[in-house]
Amino acid sequence: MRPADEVLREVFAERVGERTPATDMYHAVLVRHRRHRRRTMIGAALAAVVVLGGVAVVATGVRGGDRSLPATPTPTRPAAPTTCIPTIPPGPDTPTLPPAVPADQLPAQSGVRGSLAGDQAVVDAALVAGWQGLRDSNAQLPAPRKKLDPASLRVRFVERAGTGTLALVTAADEAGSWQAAQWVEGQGRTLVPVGGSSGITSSLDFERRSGQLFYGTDPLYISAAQVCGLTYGVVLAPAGTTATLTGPPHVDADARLVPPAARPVPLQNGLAVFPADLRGGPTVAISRDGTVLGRRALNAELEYASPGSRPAPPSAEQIDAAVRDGRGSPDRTLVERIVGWRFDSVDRSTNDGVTGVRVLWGGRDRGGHPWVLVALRLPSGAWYVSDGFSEQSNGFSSTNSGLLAADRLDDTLFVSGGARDVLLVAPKAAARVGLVLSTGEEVPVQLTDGGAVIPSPNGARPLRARAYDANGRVIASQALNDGLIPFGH
Amino acid sequence: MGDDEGFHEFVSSRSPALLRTAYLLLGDWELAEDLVQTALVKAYQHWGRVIGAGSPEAYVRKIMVNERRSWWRRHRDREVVGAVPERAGPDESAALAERDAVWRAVLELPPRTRAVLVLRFWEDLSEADIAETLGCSIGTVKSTTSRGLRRLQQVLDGNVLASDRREVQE
Repeated sequence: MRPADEVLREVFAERVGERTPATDMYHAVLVRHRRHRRRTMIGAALAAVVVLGGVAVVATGVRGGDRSLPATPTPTRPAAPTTCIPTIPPGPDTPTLPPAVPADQLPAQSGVRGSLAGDQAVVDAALVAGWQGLRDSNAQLPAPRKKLDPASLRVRFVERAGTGTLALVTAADEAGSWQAAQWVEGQGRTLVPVGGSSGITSSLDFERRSGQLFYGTDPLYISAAQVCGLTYGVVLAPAGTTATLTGPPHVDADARLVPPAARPVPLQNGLAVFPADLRGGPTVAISRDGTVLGRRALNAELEYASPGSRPAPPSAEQIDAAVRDGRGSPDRTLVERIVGWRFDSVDRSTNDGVTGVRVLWGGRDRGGHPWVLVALRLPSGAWYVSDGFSEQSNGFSSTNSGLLAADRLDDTLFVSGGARDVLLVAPKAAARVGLVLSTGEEVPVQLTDGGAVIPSPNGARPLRARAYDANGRVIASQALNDGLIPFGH
Repeated sequence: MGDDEGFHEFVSSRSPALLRTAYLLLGDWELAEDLVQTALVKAYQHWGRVIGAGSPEAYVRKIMVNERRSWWRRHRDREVVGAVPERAGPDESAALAERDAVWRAVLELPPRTRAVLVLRFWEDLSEADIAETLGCSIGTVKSTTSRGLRRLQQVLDGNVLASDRREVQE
């Protein structure tokens, strides 16, 4: 048998090959740097507005984030908005847009989509603001800069979004190998560029993979934007296509993931701008004749929904109570970490919150490291069960997790682990538990308050566990790391 | 040469190598590309100081390795966590299966252990350099390396459970 380090070197070399970045790394980095810088500056500018109390800026949230997508989806309509035009007070740190170029000096637009496309003044305003924003973005990139080609300017759409107006403007460099997109927002015919340009890439393949495609006359674009404090999904699709929106699944009482029915996105001339709740990562698919051309989560580029729109995680009091009521000696810190981790998984993957927490058992392995088995109750009554252990002060791990039907928590035998340790937690009715090894031998397990963490036996694999009642009757049998329905994360 | 030109040259010449290291840390090419960009953005913000310190690649690599923890957490749903294949017979397919098993085992290692192995056996860094990169002692590097290799050796020896899988948070 060859030594592991020798094989490892081969594996590493084989895996990476001669791979090179798919994007123009330099420009991608500069764009991200610029966005970060602008976010900081605009944040400071908006803070100045608050301090001065002078300008009534409705909390759009859009000016301060990456304009390609909203930073924080807002689920509720702000009270009585008076204006949706982002306004930035002048100041030394405020980004200064380049002078506006009159619309008659920019390319005439045709094929603009959206219900406002027939209003030439709105299209012109979007064109002027978009070009301003794109030039501003480009000017802030350190040399060597791409040279934007004004002839490539395209107003992709102008559409009403609630009480506001949303538009998207794109441009390419002179070589035609680099694209940038600019959100434009405002009210009526008063439009301004918001945030940095986006969609910049030198690789068409990368755009396709990411579900965004601006090249050619049939853009395929799935994104989201905030206008007047509300979040909107944005879909641009080629002619002859349909779009569907699929929300996050729900876990039913039998622990089955139930996907919601996909609902059509009403495309008008290949465009849809619609109110969207980004929680759970709703996905839009664009299809033609049954073939999916592109699929993308509306919040694909977001870190995640804002804390304010998320369900509340289990409280400290709930965790305290679960630790207190748990069998064995659960380590509270570890319980809190595992609960937080698994709560995130539920929140990220489903339309469900967490309605309760139970600690099924807690104890320590031979090295004194804490182990726990916790269960998060979902609204349907089903459970999301996870083991967890901690071998170092700042880390924690899990070997097994998954969904369990509503009425199964107390009569299920849990057995999880691996090469080093095995965690066993017995049904409440169990009098004793045995661990069945690959040799066929069944080893009795000494339980402490219904659970145990034992070292994996040398020379034999643990295969399953059996639980017996006081009469020696088998009441549960479970294969290692089995019995839970796998769950997204 | 100005800072920007220097940065441009650095990115052009070193990003492929950084990308490969990032891939070995994360196991996903798209995430790896994002990780490299993130690290380069941070480096660019202090490029003058980075250049002044004399080893921009080590600086970027250090950011990458330390960023990967939050990345790993954020994108853990994309982690490859799967069963380790059974051992195969002594032919070419066995060698392929062996390497595949080792790669899967690498992906299942705790992020810190994986980082140590990548830095040691891909980047060929010394234990002292790895300790500096990770901000830990040389002893920790040695023990982590040993633990990681032992785990991989278990896979090679066939003494690992097909169902032995772990998700790790650090």
